[in-house]
Amino acid sequence: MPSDLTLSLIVFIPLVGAALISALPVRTELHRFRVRTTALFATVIPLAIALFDFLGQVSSPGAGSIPEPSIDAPWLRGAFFQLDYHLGTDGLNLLLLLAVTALFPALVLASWRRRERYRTYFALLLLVEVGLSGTFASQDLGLFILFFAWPIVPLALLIAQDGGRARVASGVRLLVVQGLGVAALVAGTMLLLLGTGNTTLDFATLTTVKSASGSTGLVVEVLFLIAFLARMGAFPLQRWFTDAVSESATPVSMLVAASALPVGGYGLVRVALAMEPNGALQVTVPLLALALVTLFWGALRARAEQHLRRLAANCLVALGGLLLLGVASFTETSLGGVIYLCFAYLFTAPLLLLAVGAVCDRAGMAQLGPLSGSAAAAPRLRFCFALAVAGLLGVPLLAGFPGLFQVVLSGLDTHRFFTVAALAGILLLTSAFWRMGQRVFANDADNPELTTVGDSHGSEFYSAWVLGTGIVLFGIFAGYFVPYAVQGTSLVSARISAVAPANTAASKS
Amino acid sequence: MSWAFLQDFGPIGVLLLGAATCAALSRLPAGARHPSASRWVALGALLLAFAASIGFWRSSLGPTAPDIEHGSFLIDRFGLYFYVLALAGAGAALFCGADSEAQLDPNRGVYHLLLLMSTAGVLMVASSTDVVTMDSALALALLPLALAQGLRKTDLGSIRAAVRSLSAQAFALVAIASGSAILAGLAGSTGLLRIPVGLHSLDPLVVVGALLVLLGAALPLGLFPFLWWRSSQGQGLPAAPSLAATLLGWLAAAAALLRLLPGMLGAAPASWTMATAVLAAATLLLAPILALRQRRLLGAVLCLLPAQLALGLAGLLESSQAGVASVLYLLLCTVPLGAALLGWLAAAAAQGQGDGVADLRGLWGRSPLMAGGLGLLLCGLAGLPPMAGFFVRLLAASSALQAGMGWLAWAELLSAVLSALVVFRWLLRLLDPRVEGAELALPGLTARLGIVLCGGAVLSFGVLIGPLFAIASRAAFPPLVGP
Repeated sequence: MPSDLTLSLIVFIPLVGAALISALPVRTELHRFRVRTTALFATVIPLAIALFDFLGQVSSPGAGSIPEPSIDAPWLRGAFFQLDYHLGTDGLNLLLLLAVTALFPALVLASWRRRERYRTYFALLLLVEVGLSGTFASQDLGLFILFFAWPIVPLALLIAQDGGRARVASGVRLLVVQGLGVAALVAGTMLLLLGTGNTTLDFATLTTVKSASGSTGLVVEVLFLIAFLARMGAFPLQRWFTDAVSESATPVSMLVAASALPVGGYGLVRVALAMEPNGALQVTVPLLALALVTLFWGALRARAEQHLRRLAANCLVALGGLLLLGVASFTETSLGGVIYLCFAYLFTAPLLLLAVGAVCDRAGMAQLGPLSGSAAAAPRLRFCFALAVAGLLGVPLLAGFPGLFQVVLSGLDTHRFFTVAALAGILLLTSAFWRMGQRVFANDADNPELTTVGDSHGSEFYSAWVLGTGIVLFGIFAGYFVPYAVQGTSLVSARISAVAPANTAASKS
Repeated sequence: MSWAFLQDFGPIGVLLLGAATCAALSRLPAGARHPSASRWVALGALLLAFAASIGFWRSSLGPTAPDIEHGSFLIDRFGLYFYVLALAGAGAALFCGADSEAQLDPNRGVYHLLLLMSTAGVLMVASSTDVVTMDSALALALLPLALAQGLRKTDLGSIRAAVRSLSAQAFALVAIASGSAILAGLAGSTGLLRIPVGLHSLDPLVVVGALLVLLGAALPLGLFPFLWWRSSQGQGLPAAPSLAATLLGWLAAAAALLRLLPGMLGAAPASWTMATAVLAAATLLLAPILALRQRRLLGAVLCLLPAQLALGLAGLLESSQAGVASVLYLLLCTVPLGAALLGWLAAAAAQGQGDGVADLRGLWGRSPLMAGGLGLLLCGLAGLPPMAGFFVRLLAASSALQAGMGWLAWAELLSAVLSALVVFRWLLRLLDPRVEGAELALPGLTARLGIVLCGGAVLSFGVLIGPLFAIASRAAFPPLVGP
């Protein structure tokens, strides 16, 4: 029973930070500085531990395919299901865990100039970090569900406390949709156990035993898909996401984006495909169709949108379509691409929303018309926007490229028609990004009443710097990390390949 | 009467002795005794009984449970689990409701006497192996605290509420007694272990008997169709007896249900399983909807607590050791949660703090410690991970699926989402930036200790689910789960 506490520390140090912050006074400026600093330390320490521990793991030969268990202790025995406190890293989750630990210091920095409700805000922020890191670090499906559900209420409270007029409704919508998603995940898991006759929820065991077949497998898979599509904000469950991003304060919208696409995409690979390959094969075509609908829906809505934050949110919804395309290809390359895309989105999506949110916050409005040319005189914001968009669209040498390249390459091999259509969707999405950039971040000589916004500086700029560094570094050194992610998906794709011929034969008979 | 008999009934005897001492204290003139003297006597009795029960429990561990049988009483692990739970629950009620005991002066001693008698009643319900004994013990468990609610004699509203409460408990008793009498008559025996042998065929009267038992138990548990009555019950009643009556009422009803349904009616499952499932689903779905409409936190809490208790009915349906263990674990988690939440509200009410939407708005800004505590307890009520309520919901969903009732599992999961929505709305009110009203001071030392201990249990019982579920599994030893 390995009992390395590294991962437990990474996951739970923010919880200690949240408890400490809740106990600190906030009467004077010095008190508030202490709260901010505590939050920063509580996020930087996990990052330092993660960097120290994980970079060595990535470089070891053949790593990634087999989980490196950090701690595995029995938790619940004697019930209908067994629960283990099992945390570990492998090719599927290591990079995502690293990115989450890097994201939160950036979020604390982006919130540095906050003026009110210090304790609640930073405590809730740290609670969300516990949920996200725990989701990625779990090697037990029960523990995964626990951490998957963990951040919902803190996130809803964060959204409902600050932001636009419809913020409370957005928080409630997030709570209801995500709550139903968790309910679907629980129901799917219980049905999976009933269908397979297992009692253990350990990922390693569940990926080696026979999965549920026939209609049970299909129901389980559909429930899993509902859970993860709800989390991703994919069509038709995208409304909570666009509302939350457009109604919440800028750092919170960054957090919403980071907790949606990457967690949903990871869950699809880790749970929906690996646990129930039979069901996954049965929903291939609907999944591909959903990928295209999500991509085109998001891109077209973004093209038509006049609200800057909503425009950005719809662009991110569209990107979920690419993840679904990669998931539905089922190959080692495409699944590795999905994981790397999720990893890249943890840097690119928050950076995009940081740039967009900074413009809207400073101008005090979000309508595209009056904001025309407003950020033209803010070179740092322009750069952040350009870097984020380039990362999201997969420009080479940036973090988004390897993942997108793998997904498209693999898709052309397995589902040519859908992939070509998706490429057209990417073009449409590019035009939406272009429209946003051209209107807000470029000069507009025709606008006589130009609203200009100040450039990024201080803590906000440092936050952008952290995210931008991630986008560039993980793009340039992708060769070092991508094989690790691909290795991690080898078990999943092998499992699907193993059941694919049997499934085809069964459908023929 | 042998020495062994006295020893085996030590916990119940200590409680009755404590009750007698409280009665004697209450007879003394006001100047000759400390106002809290009877409370400390009651606590001492509960502590002694608790220690004796733990001793019994420890001695019962082994490959075969050495059950102690005296006439129609059986002291087995199941009974001992309830002993510990009821004694801890009564202690929690005594601690958490300490601030509002002043409302009962000069009848505090009588309240403590009735509390101890009621606790002894719960212990006897848990040990009963005979229908007649169980019904008598239920009367002892439910009626004294219903009477105690009328101890604030200067308040006419309180007396009216107490009369209503007493009538309701009497109705519950009549229903359970009639149901169990029908079943005993059909089987030709009043012994719980003999009744299943006589109930082979699915006689329509078996269904009637089972329904009456369920209906009677639903009232103290606050389940459908008594949700509306329960949610408005807190108004006007003195807080301390109301809190104790709620907790001990749950335990008495749960012990009776567990002894009667899977144990006695296990042989005729069709007679009660569907009715139980419908009752559970109706409570699970209606309680949070009713809670959403409440403008007072006490009303919302009194709706959501039964919704959590209704999850236990799914465990009954599974009728296996794991199913009964999940019910026992649920009770273990819900008792401190109820004690802490109702204790918090009682302590706030003792300071003149209302529990309406306007009263609690911005409490986080005024009294962060009190608001933080309440927020955490509400999160426990919603079953947010990693608190015990989350695991309780997982266990209940799995039990429903195991029992072949997928629709009930869905009702449970939907209820969890609705409960989270109710709690979310109250949390938003607590965190509202508009800080209006006076600061809310911390409760008195005794109440604070009780709320903190129960709150600690709410927070930690989820993380400690492994060892706690193992204990619950031992208490749900197979011979108790029916033939």
